[in-house]
Amino acid sequence: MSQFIWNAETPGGKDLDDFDPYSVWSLRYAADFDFAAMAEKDNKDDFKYDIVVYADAQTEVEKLDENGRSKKAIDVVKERSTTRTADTPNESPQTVSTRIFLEPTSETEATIEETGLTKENARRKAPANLGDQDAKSVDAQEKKEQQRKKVRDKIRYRAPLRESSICKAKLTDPNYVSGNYPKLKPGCSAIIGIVDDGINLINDRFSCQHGAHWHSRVDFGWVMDGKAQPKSTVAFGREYTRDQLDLQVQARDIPERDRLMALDLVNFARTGQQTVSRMLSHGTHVADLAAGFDPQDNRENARILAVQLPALVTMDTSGAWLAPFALAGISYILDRAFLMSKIEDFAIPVVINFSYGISGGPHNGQSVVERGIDTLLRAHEERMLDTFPNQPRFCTAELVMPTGNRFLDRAHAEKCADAKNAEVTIDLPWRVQPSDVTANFLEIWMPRAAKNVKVWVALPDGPKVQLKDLNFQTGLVLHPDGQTNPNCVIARATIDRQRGRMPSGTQPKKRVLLAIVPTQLPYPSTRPVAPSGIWTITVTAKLPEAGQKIEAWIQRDDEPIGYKRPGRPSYFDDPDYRRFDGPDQQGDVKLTDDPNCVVKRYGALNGMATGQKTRIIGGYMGPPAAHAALYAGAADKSTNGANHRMRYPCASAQSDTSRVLSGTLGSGTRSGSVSVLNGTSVAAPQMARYLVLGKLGLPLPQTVQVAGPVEQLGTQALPQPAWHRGTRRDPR
Amino acid sequence: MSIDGGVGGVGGVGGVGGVGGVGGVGGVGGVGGVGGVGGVGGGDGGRAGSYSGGLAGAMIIARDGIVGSYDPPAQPAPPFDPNNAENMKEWAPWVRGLILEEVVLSQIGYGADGGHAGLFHLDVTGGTATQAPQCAYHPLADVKRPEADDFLKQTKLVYNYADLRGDRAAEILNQVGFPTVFFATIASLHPARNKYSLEFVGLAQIVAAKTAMQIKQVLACKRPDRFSAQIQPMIPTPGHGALPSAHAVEAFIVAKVLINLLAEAEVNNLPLLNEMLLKQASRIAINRHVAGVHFPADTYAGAVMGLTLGDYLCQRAGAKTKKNGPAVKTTGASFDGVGIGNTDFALSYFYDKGKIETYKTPDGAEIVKANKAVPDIQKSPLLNWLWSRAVGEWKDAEPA
Repeated sequence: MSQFIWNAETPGGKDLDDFDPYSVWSLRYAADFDFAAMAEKDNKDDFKYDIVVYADAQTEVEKLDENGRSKKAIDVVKERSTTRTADTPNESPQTVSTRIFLEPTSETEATIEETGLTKENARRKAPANLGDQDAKSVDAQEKKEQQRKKVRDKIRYRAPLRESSICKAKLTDPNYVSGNYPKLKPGCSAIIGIVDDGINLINDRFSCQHGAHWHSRVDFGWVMDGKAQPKSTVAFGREYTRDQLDLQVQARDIPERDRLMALDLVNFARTGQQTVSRMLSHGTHVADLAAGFDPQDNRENARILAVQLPALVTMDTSGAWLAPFALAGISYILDRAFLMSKIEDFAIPVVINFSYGISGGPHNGQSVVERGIDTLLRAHEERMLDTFPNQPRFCTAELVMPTGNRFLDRAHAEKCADAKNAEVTIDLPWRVQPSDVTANFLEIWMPRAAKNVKVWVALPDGPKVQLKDLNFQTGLVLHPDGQTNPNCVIARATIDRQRGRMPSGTQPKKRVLLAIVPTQLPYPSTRPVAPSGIWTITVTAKLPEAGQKIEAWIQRDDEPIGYKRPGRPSYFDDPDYRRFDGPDQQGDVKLTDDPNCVVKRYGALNGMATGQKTRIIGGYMGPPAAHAALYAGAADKSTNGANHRMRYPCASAQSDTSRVLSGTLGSGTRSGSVSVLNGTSVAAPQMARYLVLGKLGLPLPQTVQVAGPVEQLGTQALPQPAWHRGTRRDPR
Repeated sequence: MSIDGGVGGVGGVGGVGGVGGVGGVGGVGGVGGVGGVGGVGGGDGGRAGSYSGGLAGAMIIARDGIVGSYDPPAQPAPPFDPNNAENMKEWAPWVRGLILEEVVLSQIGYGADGGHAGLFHLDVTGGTATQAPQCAYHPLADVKRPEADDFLKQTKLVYNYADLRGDRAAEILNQVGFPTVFFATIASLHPARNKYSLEFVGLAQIVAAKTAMQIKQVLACKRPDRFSAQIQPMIPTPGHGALPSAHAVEAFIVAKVLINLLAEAEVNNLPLLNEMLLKQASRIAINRHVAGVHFPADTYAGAVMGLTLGDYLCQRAGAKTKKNGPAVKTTGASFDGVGIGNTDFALSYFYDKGKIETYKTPDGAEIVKANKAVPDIQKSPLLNWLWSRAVGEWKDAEPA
């Protein structure tokens, strides 16, 4: 094995400074094996876009126009800022708003050719400790952060959008025409938002039937990687309106497949996977659980707003591209919901289901996505209250997410400080698989005020090497000695921190992110690959308070339903981790953690779901909610320092019918078909449905007391979904 | 004896069970028509078979024991009425299959110029044992092969269709050969109760297969795996050309025959019956794209041929649009693959309310054209013999 050495990378320049570290990694070092290589480009300008997300704290109210729109240039999310005082208990004393902009990024790719490792860099001597991680620097930084009133975080993400999806013309305003449905009345109506992949918008479960006449319950649907239309209401992709869907839903004599082709939801001439053409698609199944009804039930007061994320975003389960699209989708749903309420002239409550999960993240509710979600939901409730001051009960916006399925994946580890200012050391045996053609990512989180942070990385069978001079400004890259081309880099380490003051009860954190190239490239190449085997990462830090932790999460690398993502997941391979019970590990799957092993099951929780306003839903196995599904994600049992506890799930629903009968029944992609899908992805929409039934004024199923672990299942569970005469039945 | 096992013969090698279809796995002759799965009697097409040596020996001895001297009969047996369709009841189903196949195919003519092939109906009237009948050809259907660049664009569609292989594998493997059961399940066809209906379906499949082969030979189209090494079909690529798709001709002719049969028998009052039959035919044909052995263009060509030949076969058999109604009429149709580009197959693009309509792709290529009614299609007494019995199978008992 040739000698690999760590070195400071050259600064990426202004253009790369604002980028999320995953995007920097992709643009600088992963361009030849990342999605741009694996998914065919139809056009040389494909994937040359980035999305900017602002997380702002502002104290002025910007005057919005009568549609609630900002008059600024094309933006995906309306600029929204509100002033709030600190006298509302448990509320953040700062105001936060989110803006998202879409920009072309051709300049950034040019930067890649110029930057790289220079010979000077390769020879530069670095100081012994980790730059700005010494005690004095950390104290000074922490003082500054606590005083920050404005947090002008501007984070840019690489956007895997095709050129054909980008709207080049000026956007037109969305238009909603009431269907004048008699049942769509104040106090018994609801809007269900679905953000997912592969949603069959014309499935009969999302339509109503009166005799020979059919109409859709989907008012708006946004397919984010659809072909941009000449007149567009969205900055990228394609929006479908109810009248376009009604046309297809009503044409019963044309086969459903042909109607899906007419809508361009299925198009075999298009590059990439056609998830809406499969028997089972995640989005249709989930949407059916949340918002599907028998067409003859005529639930025209249960309106659906659907967002289909770009396929490449769904396919990369590490979640590298997810944040801006998730926020854009949720914002879109809330904006259309606001428009609908205004035109109908009464407040319609919104319930959004987002059945996605990532492993990484600070898990303190303050990641970009989590802050964004909290902001968007709050801002929507505020504008609804401003518009319908006499209907506060129906001005709500709720969001449901699953706990994730990583309980047994050996992707989480942590070590706790047993005293104030204790030095904590954690050794992470990160097993990276051979024949893995996708990158691997490890996030190590610790309190922002942690001092004397030191990191060592040992390659498989290699010596322990300290990452010297790792600081907030510059990353370190691992490359073959003597080769300075960015395409020779096999790993990158960066450190970044959460900015500003946190809401009370939330501990700010900082993150060391380690990215590794594949252990095998998907095509013949002279580029060096990462050695497979156990990479040992050692982190030492002085944690200010007792009970605080160094936590680590490995990002997912599996394939989502309907996709062929050829990665192989990495995991912590620790000899102290016992996978099975019993003295010789001859027993059942072990579901409890060992205090003497750093690798944990508890704490493997969806890293996007811990925001304050999100409802986290766990999954149980079989009816009595006494057993969590074996894979169901769980919050940490112990606190992270005083009062800093990871959010527990609110409730749970069925993920598996029994120990041997996996999954839950729901609609297949085609109308009239049935499919089985498991995972906490199917538990979350059952909760969404429960919330919706309440708003529609329909009888609610009786919840069940949870007998299993509250960190996985919450305290209440929904009963097993009922199947009656071939279709799911809500309680009568 | 020589007909059993003959090349392409009814009930030849691979006949029983029909796996392998025409020229498919199992090689030439693996036709599973009459006598195949779901065929007459579900077995061997009504063959009498032969006696074993031991049994023949026993029968010789038994005869010696009982026969006595020859006592000439006073009268000859009354002769059958010659050249009478009613005699068809005397022959075994496999024999009827051979006869009717000839009745149909002897009156289908072919013409070609370059990559453009046509089928013609031959109207035959009059004629005796020594005097030639009058004949006239009328266009029935024609198929023009796409250009090389069109096939290249279609190759991407086939590559993308492979996504569905996991979903469709069971169907694909069970639809190699003649997938009659996929239609039987919709129309409630039972081998004993509906033996004449199934005999007619088997005839339609043979006619479809043989005409398809003739056109394939003229057009000589390469299969998807000759265009890209990334297709890697999941079943063996059959030993005949790509366009038209024989599966498509066979599936659509069966769908059309059953639609016409059940219309005259007045049992297609089930509202979705016709729709299900046509959707099943589409799906069978589309599964071939998924398998990686056909282009969507092949399915267009096959569907146009199959739907046209279905009506043609029924009209020659004297089918009526309903009980005591007017005769089924056949309209000619054309497929022109030039300029088809990357247009995918959808039946509703060119077929509506029971007939083929002219279809122009978004790029302006008129790939399907409905032509005029085909004149002078006379009822064949032999075909009508089988057809009327098939229709009769569906009649409920009269009230006592």
